Amino acid sequence: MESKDTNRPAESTRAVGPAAGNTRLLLAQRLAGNRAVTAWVQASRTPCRGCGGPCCEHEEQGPERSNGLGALSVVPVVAQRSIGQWLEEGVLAIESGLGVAGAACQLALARKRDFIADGLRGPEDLQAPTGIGGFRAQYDPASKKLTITLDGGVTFTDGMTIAGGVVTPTAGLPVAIKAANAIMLLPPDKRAEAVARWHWAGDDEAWLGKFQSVVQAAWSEKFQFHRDKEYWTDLEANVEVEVHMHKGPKAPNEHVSLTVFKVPDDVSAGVGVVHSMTGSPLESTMTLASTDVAPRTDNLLRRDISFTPSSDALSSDGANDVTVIANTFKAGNPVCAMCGRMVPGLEGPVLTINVLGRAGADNAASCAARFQAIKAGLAAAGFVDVDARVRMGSSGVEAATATVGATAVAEGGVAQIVAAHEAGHVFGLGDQYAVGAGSAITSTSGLGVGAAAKHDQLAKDMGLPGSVAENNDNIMALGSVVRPEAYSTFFWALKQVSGLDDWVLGPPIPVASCEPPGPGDYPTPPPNPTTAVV
Amino acid sequence: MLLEQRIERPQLFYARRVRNDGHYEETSERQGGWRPVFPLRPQDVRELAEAIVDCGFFELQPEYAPKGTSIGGSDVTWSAHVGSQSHAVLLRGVPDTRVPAIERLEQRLAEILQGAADAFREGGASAH
Repeated sequence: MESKDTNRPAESTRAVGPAAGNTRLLLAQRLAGNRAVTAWVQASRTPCRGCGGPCCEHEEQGPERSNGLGALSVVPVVAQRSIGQWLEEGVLAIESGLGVAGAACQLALARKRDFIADGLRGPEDLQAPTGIGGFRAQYDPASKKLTITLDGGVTFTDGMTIAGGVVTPTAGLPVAIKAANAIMLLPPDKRAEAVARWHWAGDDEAWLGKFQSVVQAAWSEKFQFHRDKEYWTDLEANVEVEVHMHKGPKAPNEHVSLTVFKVPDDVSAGVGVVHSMTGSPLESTMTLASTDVAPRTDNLLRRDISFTPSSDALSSDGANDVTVIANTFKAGNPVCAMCGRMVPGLEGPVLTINVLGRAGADNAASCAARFQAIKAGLAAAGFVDVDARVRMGSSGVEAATATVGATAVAEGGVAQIVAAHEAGHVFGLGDQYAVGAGSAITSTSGLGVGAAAKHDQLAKDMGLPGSVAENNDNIMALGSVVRPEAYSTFFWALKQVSGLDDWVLGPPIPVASCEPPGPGDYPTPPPNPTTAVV
Repeated sequence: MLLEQRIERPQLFYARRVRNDGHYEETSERQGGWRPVFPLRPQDVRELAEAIVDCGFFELQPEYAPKGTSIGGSDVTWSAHVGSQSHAVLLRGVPDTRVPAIERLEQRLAEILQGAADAFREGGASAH
């Protein structure tokens, strides 16, 4: 039931005296805690800074908060009622018989309505505490939408040039260097045609549209947040990502300057780079290859395993394949010290083995034998909890001359779209793939398995166990799945722009009506009930 | 070895080199081992040695990195040996990191390699 001003009795009948004051204090504590009590008491004694009146006409200032850039800002006035007015209505609600709980409920709902009616929070350009990237955030409580916006300019660069017959690959682009080595050997009249595959030719605008749709689809509407406060749990925030990129240089008030190298459509270039200046959400650069808006052709979540021809034994290459798989997909979270198994909920990547049985053999028996050989190899290479994490997928028959007898697929196995992964960096997330000896992912730098990702603390602030490096289908690792931890910078941004610190991950929880059932106020039974008493 | 370029990032490794005997070779994480591309003539090798010195390679810093935080860039290491001089230069966060002297060297390398490739294709190459 909504609070109605018409319920306010005439001035002469308002409750006065010590009893009314105690009730008001009780309500203030119930609604907003001791801070509200202090503010009300102070406001009733000192002139309001906003209007100078004896009773503050402005809502208490919201909590001071950091905007992520080291400075503090104060949430602006959000409500039109004073605390005194709130408490006045509360006294009346009590006097009308709703009781403290009912009164607190009505006041909270009214306050929530006012919060929503106050409209848009933000927009604000933010860089997450990770010091990476930058984006704009705004929250509209009426539409329940947290909008994350990425603005920027794009420079389209050819992956290879030819001048005076000399073929020059783009600096530091191995695929271009390898291709240039071959193109250099072509007759001069053939080189231009070959180099043309590395040139933009009117397809830049289409690429822009693809980039925008890929990033928006990858990151929007994956998880919800709601406020974890009594009577407010139905206040929700749904994430919508908007990307506004244009051809040409980045404007000063835009977030990212993107350079895209043109490569042939069948080339996976492995370029993706994001560079940021800590402390500035408006100075990021991103580098991509033109094929980075499609799933990678070198899917790092899949690896073939070779068998000795006409045998169910792993070949020497196959044994190496299995060892690399075991080292690549190590679990990033700790193992139970007592039982040696993964902690439920924190299991490492699951492998599905699609097996081809030997040609001419009992297919079921051959597939089973090959599967067991792979499991044994994984266990010998240190793969933890093999029985729980390795399962057999599809089976088939291998071609007579084939050597690949199986394919290991980690998690869902969907290839990553590099542009979506790099966008995650601009949204403030760090990498989560792991490097290590004997792994398919090697480097002299990078996180080891289990090391904390840059956004580990932000994930913990969201109530999650954290965020560690592990080679799985996480979009910030090797795959395309946006897991809850990947929303940790959006969660942080929501708190910044809304001025509210009590958001939690999860869908909204409906708020029950404030009204207790009155006399005779019972649900109408259906006609001809089967349990009717006659 | 006269000049070598190594490009590394977590999911990729590539290297190419020009040897003093004129062999131009490349390798990668999938390839394993060096694969010949095409040979350079003695004059190509001399021109490349001169280009390395002329660009000021041996006066460069051992390492260059971009300011700020770079995620995902390549680490590119150039190594050169000319006469008694040896030096290596590491560029972190390529392509964000750019060094004019290295860019000049890369352009000259492309020109010299193209000349060697033309000669090899036309059957006039003999680097040994």
